[in-house]
Amino acid sequence: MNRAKTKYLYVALLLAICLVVPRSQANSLSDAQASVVKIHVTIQREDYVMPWQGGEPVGATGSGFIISKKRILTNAHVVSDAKFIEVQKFDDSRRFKAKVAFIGHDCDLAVLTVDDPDFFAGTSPIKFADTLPSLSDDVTVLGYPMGGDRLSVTRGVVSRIDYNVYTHSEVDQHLVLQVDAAINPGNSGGPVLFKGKVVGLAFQGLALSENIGYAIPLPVLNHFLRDIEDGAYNGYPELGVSFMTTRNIALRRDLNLPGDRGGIAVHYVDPFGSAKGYLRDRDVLLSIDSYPIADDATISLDGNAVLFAELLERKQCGDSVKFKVWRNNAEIEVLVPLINPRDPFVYRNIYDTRPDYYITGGLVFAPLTREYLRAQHKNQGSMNYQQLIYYSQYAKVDGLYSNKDEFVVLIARLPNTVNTYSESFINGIITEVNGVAISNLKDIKKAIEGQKEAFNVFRFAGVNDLLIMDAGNARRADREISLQYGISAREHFREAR
Amino acid sequence: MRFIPVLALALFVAAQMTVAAPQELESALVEVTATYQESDPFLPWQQKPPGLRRGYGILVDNSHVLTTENLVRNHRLVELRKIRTGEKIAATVELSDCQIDLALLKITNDADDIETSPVKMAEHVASTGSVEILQFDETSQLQRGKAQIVNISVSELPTAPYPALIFSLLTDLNVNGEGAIAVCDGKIAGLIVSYDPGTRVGRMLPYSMIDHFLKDALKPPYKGFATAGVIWTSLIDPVKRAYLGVKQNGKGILVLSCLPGTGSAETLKPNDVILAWDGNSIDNLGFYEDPDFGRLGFANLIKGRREPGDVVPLTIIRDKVEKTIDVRLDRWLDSAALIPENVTGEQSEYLVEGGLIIREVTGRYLKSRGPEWQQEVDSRLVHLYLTQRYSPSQPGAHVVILSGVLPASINIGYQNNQDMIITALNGKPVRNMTDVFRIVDSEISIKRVSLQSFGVDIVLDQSELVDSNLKIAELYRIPALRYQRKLFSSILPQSDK
Repeated sequence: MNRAKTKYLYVALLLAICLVVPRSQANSLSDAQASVVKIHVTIQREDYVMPWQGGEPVGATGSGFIISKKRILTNAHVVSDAKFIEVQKFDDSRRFKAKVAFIGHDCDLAVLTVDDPDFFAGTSPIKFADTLPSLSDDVTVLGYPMGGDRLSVTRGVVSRIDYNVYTHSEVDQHLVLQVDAAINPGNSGGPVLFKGKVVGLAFQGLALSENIGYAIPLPVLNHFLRDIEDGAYNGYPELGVSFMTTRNIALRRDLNLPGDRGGIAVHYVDPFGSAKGYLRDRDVLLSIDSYPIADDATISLDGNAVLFAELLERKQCGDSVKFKVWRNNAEIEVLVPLINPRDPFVYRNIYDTRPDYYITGGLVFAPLTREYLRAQHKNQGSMNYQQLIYYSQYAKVDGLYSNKDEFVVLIARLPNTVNTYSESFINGIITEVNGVAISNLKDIKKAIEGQKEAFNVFRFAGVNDLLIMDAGNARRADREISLQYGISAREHFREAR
Repeated sequence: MRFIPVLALALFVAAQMTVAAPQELESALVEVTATYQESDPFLPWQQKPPGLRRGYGILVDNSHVLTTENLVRNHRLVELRKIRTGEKIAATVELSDCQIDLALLKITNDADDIETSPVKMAEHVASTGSVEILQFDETSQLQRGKAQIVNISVSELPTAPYPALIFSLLTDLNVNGEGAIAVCDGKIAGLIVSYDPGTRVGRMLPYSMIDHFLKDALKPPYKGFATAGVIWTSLIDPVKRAYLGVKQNGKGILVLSCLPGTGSAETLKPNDVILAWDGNSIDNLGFYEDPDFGRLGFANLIKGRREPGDVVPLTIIRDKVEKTIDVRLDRWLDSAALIPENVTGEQSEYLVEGGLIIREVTGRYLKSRGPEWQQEVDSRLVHLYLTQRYSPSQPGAHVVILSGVLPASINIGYQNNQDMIITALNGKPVRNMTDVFRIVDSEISIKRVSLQSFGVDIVLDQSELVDSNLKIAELYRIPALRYQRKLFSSILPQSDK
């Protein structure tokens, strides 16, 4: 969670800078540059502290490029939480209203469409390369970064191709193309070209570093475009295993593993992953789709040693992966069907979703989210905050999630005489209300509305103290509190839960 | 134990009256110099650089000196010096108790015995009165200064998380060492335990606590100070009072839990409301009216007025019914906690086997990561410490961890493991270091380490182990691969925290 803080997304805040940029020379890039578009967006993030209202709308710009079937490919982070999107072609003063057709938050990619047919008149889709460039190959980055209004071109070489965390979700890791060409805020969504063809899409940088720009490489772009061919984005499948190396001789002997090299030992199977029910603790993964797995978890692919996960990167949900597994002193074959579970305990960043909450007697309850933890970072010394961190990191590993659809947190108190003594419970995780075990936010509403006794009794994880509220007074105060604090609605629940 | 700090802020009006200290008090004041050395919290076989503390003590008979525990904490050498002299007199620490921040020193050589007339302990100091503080100046002459009592409260000791009756003094004298004595009417009023030159406020441990300690310490076996073992909270919320059926206005505190193994755990229950303790009415913030010192936290009724083993009557409300129960008071030792605090910095027990550092978690270990320790340490350990540190699931249970790995060929593949909770060694459950030593002694070596929520055991190559241990000891310069406290030391007062 901390690592991602050092990265930042390249969405430039809209700056009123009117610099005259000299017109670029026509060259071999002219075909490609005609396909690069500027994206103007107005973004409104949700407010996870006061979830009944939206945050401040801010203008931003990004880049994108025209692909086949009259579509525009860009970053998910350029158009996430966007309320209004316009696109503008190279050397064309007109702006056209656009909308998001597909968005993949796990790979930070989105496809936009434009209803007005005039927009695509005279354009041609950009060409995609067939393979990734090699290290030190010259690449060109096109886009509309900060520092000017018109198209910018920067050049550099491929410095590294590696795995890295995608800052947009702060959780997912995929292949990343690292280049030393300047990539700046506003470049997001612009193409990275090798010999005039797309090999990547510029998307993030690294704070406190120089000449390090990151692009989403071709395989990830292709994965996304293939995924949406059926009209829906399903996302990357999740295998869901943690493993350790089998380099230790004593460990190999303990597992009765033949040979002295190769294989990785599974020490944890995620209850929400594809491997659940197929792989187990102490399984040794010997090969994946017939590529032998070395004891450092790499496979040899096209002559390069890459993490075995790279093979999984090429799969779609619904595909399967075949492991050769050493289990109970024998080699067996395990076919794992790949799925993308909707895992509520992975705590990705959330976009394009109104936050859930429920208010009773001035107490605001909401599910635990990454956004809320970030908003509460200033309270990191408090016991309740530390408990939230523990629950978010160890929900599955320590079995804290059992019988829970989500963790529900008392996120705030809207001060009123009915809740004067509830301050110390803020950031506590609700376990029980009026004798009813709480597994999701709606359970609280049910327990409160079903209460026939005089008191509402709230219990919290890790705390022996009880929060007691006069049920009648709380009900009567609800309206007054809404007026006092300008709350338009006392609850919001997502449709499908 | 730590009580919820509710400080009474009472400002007392200045009074006058100081009588010059008599001759016998002057000659009883000695300078105490202690060379101390702490063990490294991470590498428990290593020592930090030695340091020097200088303060004062008071001769209580021909061969004993009373001083503060903090002054002689982790001492390597203790020396005394009389007023207007230069000679150093060697002394040993006969007894120290951080729960009251007092220590009793013994002069080592009989020939050095000092002729002295016994000092007298004050019987009463007016809570609005003044005292005189005695210390040495740079030339070993007596220096004296007036101090006004501004506050009397039960608060945490400056050097350990235990409550005690503390007087706050406003003084003109620049107090130059802890243990400086305060006198009143020619008798000892107390010892200065801390001084803040910024505010000129010193904190004094009063005669009553000193008298209690001395009588106990000079007549072995030392019984120590009593605790009730009750974790409680104030009970102000009228709704919660109504819910619990408390009708007595302004009275009563709420029991949250009791420390396992203490007398209170046998007779008190969570959600009991304590109305009166040992014949004194307790208000809803936990204060009572003391005949000598006014409004004080009720911890003084236990620590200041009782001894371990005493049984005291309580008036409580349980299930809305008022009743009387008896509670046995105990001496609660830090080592009874699931995660002991180890404020005194006692060397931790450890075992290094195959480069794996095995030890127990203590508050000192966690907090040595610095002020941001809650962010630095694994959230699981932080959570355990914050929510369960006083409450082992069974008596004697502590948290045994693999705190780190000293890289060597025997532990290849395990070297990234840090601060992981050990559940079993060689397949046998482990609750504390005693279990660890028992297992390693009866089975010669550690063959297998099981970690919490980690599906693969760490296995050590037995054919390499003996040789590897020798090499690791030499390579990393570890003088002893294990440190185990002597079995009987736990009942000796010195070892007690």
